[in-house]
Amino acid sequence: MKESKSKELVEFLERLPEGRRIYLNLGSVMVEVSKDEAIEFLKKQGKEGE
Amino acid sequence: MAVKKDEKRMTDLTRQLRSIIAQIEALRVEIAQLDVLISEYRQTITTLRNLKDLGAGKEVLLPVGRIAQVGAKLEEVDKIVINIGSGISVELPFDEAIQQIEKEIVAALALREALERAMVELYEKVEELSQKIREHGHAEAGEGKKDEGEQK
Repeated sequence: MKESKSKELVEFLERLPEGRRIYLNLGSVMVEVSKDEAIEFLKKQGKEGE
Repeated sequence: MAVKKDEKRMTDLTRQLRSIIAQIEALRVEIAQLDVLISEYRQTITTLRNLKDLGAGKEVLLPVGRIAQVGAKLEEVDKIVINIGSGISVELPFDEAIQQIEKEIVAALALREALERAMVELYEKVEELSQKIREHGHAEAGEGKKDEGEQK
């Protein structure tokens, strides 16, 4: 379930047009990241969840 | 021996009934949480539309913690940052952001419907089990009277 949600999000990010801002929510701080960094973060999260 | 068997049957039925009632209660809590979520999503859409209508330059108060607020100037509300889950937020154009929230509402409503259906099925099981318990109770009472009569 979590894995398919993560895959869905990766696909969503990949479809996003260039120039859209993406943020990681780290506690109460939001950090701007690139699309690749966000996808990497999701993939890493997916692996940790396995 | 038969009495023990009857007692065990009755205990089993009551245990099953309690377990189903607990499941119904859990579903009820989940549905209530979904209702709160759906209402929050709808409130978000209304707030975003109102902010967009107010337009740039309006003074707003930003909450800082629970009791403090600081003033800020509203910019054009044409881009919204939406939390898409798993710790990621994405900037979307206003209309796309609204669509994204509406999609979340549809998904939450579908889940709510599924949970309600499951709850109806569980209520049917409760009815079935209650009936069995009643029948079992009557049968036991009948046996008891029969035994008393034989003793007299």
